[in-house]
Amino acid sequence: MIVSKQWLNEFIDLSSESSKSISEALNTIGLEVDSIRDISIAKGVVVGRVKECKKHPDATKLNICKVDIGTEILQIVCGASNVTKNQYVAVATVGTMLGEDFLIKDATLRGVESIGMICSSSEIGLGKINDGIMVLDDSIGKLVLGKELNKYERLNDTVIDIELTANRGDCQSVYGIAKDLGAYFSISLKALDTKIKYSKGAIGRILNITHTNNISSNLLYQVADISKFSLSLLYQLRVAFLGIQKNTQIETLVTYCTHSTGILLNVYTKNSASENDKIELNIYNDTNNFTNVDGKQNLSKVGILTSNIVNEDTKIVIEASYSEPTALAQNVFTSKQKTSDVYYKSSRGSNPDLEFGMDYIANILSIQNSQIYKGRIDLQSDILPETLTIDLTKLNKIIGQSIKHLQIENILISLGFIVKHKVENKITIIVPISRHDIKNIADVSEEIVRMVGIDNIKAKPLCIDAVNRTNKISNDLIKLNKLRSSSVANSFFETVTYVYSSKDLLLKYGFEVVNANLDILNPINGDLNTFRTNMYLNLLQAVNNNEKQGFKSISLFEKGIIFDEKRNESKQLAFVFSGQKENESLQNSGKVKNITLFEFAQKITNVIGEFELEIPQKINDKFFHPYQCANVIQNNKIIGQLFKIHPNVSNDFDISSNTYLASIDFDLIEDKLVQVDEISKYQISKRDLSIVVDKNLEYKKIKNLIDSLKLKNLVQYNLIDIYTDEKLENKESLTIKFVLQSSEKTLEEEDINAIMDTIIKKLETKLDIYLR
Amino acid sequence: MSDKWLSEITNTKNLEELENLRVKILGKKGILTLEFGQMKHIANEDKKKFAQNLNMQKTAVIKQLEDQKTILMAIALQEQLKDEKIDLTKFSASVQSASFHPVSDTMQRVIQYFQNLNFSIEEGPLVEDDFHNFEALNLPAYHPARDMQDTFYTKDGKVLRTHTSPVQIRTMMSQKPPIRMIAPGTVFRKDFDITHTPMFNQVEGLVVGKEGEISFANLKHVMVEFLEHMFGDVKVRFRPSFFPFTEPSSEVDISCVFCNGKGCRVCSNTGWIEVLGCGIVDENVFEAVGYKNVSGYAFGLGIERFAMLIHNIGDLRSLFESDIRLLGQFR
Repeated sequence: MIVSKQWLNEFIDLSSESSKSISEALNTIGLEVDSIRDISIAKGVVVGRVKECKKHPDATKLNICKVDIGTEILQIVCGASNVTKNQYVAVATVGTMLGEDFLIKDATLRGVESIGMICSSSEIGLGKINDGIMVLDDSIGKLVLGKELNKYERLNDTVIDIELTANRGDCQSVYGIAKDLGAYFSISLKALDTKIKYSKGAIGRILNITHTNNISSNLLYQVADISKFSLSLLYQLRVAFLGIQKNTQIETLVTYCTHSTGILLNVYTKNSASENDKIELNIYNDTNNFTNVDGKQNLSKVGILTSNIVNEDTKIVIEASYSEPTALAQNVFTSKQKTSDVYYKSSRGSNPDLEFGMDYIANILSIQNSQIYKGRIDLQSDILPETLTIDLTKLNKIIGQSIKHLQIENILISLGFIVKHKVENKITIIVPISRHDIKNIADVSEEIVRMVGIDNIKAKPLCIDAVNRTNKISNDLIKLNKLRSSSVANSFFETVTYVYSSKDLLLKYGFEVVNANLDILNPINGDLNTFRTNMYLNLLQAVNNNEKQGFKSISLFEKGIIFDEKRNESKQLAFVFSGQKENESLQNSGKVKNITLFEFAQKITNVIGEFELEIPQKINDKFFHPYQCANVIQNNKIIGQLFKIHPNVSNDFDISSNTYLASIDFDLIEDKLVQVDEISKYQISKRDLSIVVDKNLEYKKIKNLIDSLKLKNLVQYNLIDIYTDEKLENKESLTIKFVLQSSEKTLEEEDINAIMDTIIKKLETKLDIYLR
Repeated sequence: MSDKWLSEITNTKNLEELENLRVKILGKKGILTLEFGQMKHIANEDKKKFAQNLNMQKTAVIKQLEDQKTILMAIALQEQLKDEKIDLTKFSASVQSASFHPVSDTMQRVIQYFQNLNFSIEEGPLVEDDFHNFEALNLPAYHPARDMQDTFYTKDGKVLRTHTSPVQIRTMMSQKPPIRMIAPGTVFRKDFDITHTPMFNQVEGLVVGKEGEISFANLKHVMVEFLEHMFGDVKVRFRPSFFPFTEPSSEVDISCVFCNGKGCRVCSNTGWIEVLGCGIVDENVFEAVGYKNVSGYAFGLGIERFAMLIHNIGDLRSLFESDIRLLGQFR
């Protein structure tokens, strides 16, 4: 919503307030100032008069003008098509700076000398009113040749852009804003000084309306003769502030008056309405309860769609309308009716004071050489104002401050409420009909809050009942933060990516997708057109982004939500590691190897605790490396996946083939309080065992075998080396380190040997494995 | 004689020389050892004196050897340490550990603040129904704020939640007052340009107590203290505003953190930056969840905006690009 100081001045005298104080006031009362801009026309732009205007002999589009600027007559070559003799124009004299690097200099255009420039409105920092030069008139003040334009007070305005909230339909006009400012500054609004010029005839000579009785919108009509109408510059400039350019001056005027008063005005011309001398309008409500106005064809759905004026006519019908916004919005919603610009205003609530709007436009038309036919056709029904009874004690409790009852009453009166009667702490008030948003005590308290100013409400701490607020979510948060910390400590950068995915990609790589009937109806684009069912694709894209920047070792993790085909949500912790296992440094002599699956798995172990890897029964060989993928097993449950990506995938994503991914179900990660084992006070013994095994033998079989022995004093054992060479052919040598300890005594050599012998013997007999 | 030995001992340069000298004097065939062998040739009456003299010399030599050994060992240790000298200025290791994402880090800071104020944490689904996301929040179907442009819908008539406010509704319907909660989470709007991403994060807050108990003044108190906690020494400004689910409502600005309120490009020369919205819970919301005779306040804020202001991040979209050039700065 755009207003200007001069425009506001039509309704309220704010001459004693600075732009800054007006801006602060607007913010205080809930009319957020988005931007504030002073118009200042450059020094050197003066009023001139075109005394002579001839075509340039060598250029069809150029005119050679003699322009009187009071002190001298300048020859100016002008390219605008609308320049003519006797016009008053804005002349930028030589030496004027229009903008930062636009200096007006003497020039020669196609051999003709040009001293200065005749300006368009936008060239001197005003809004754009047309495609040619700006023709001055005395609507900006008395025109004096040679007078600097920046001395004209009405031109040097301050434009304020207000971001209006959806509830303040009443502030969709300069008048509405003026009313609110009036209440805040305690300044009464100016009375509208109407001097309407009437024509000899009455409205009935021109307009005939037939209508049904069920019309839901309020309508008011008058007719004007605009044969001599022309619109003064000032109105054009103000409409240009709004960034609106209309085809005809009458439309510009209607825009101006609607923006000024908040009353929805519309114009029908004779041509568009009827071929007869009379304009015939037929008004009725359709099945959706929208009010239609028909001429030769449908001209408008009131408050929803209006047809544009095709051509100007000498006689126009002016329509002022109001539709109850809630009912209108409900009907539009249920009927899925298409709407145009006007609906923005009507659905938020336009000004219902139709007579005011008619007077306002009639007054300007009268000033602009037009006449009004006597009489108006009134199709209005009464709007019943809302009556509320407000408990002032309750109101003060909502605000949290004791505001004096008299002050509350005064604020409401200044905002146009009628305070009817008072019983103890209660008042009955009548809400102004333009305030569609006031429906209950909370709405009224907001009026008090904004007029008192929130700055004047003292902040008070709330006394609370202490309640145990621990729940699963807060416990999960502690668990999550532990996992995040260890992820970061193990060199994974935390990332956040969109929960969307590309359906095509998910299908291409053999992943599940959310069922079509549950999918996103209106995705933002084709790459983000479905819910993600894993975080892998997001992480690979992230790897690609970073590889492009030259990173050689990329490791990321994300805690996020994924969906299954039934769109159930689950929390996942996903990891990616790509390329080198670390960056070059002194510690590794600048020689860095690529990360391996086991090193990746070790890092994940550092984050989520110990787990085992198990070859999955079914392998997605479109995305996973078929021989380097595993289920992650913790406490005998599958809690996730860990794998190298398929070489085709690394090609598709244009990233290192040495890329590993893991995804772990957050809820399945073990997080229980630790129960410690008693620490044995006896010495630990260690033994390494090197065995030769067939390469195809799963190590898991060896583990199962050792575990099955249930050796009491075997504390731990780890595979610490895998060795292969040509002599071993299709066998390999494994070295396993055994840690032995008893809780009862120091193990003697023979105890240790007995344990190791048991293991060796079992390996021999069950798995045909021998010592190296 | 012993004086000569003593000075020879003192002159040894290292432990090896010292050991050689010891052998030369006290070894099996050492000079002093051989002297003791002369005992048998000494007359009996002189033996005692001879032996005394030799013992004295031997004691003196041993002591001198030990003293010298201590000194030489100390010197040797010094030499060893010197050899172990490294040029510490060659140290140039970079941090090998990674870092938290600024969005989740900011989220955690916000959560921690409100947990300290005895707020519970609540959550809800990302795909919501119309009732929780709109209807119960006093946003009826025909409301202008429910523009198709802003909301992602699903084919079965649900929505991707446009705010974390539906968690308020879920919490009120599953718990009883007094309620004191925040709901951190991901939300979705159909908007994608330099200042909008189709997904972002919010934290929602709700406090519900008995009727007449919770006021706008209480809300103001919490908001001011919270913003000072997050942004440090800033001014806080309240502007009345409008949200369908609160009345009275307010938007809250802080003095621009980039220009200290003087006016700059970031704050559009206003000196203020809008950071959150809040208000007194609308009666219609309480009615929708079946609460009677209660009062409460609610607030909501965008985490990305906070993170950008706190860390001077210029481009919202960069927060979703996993760019290590950005993330690496948070180590």
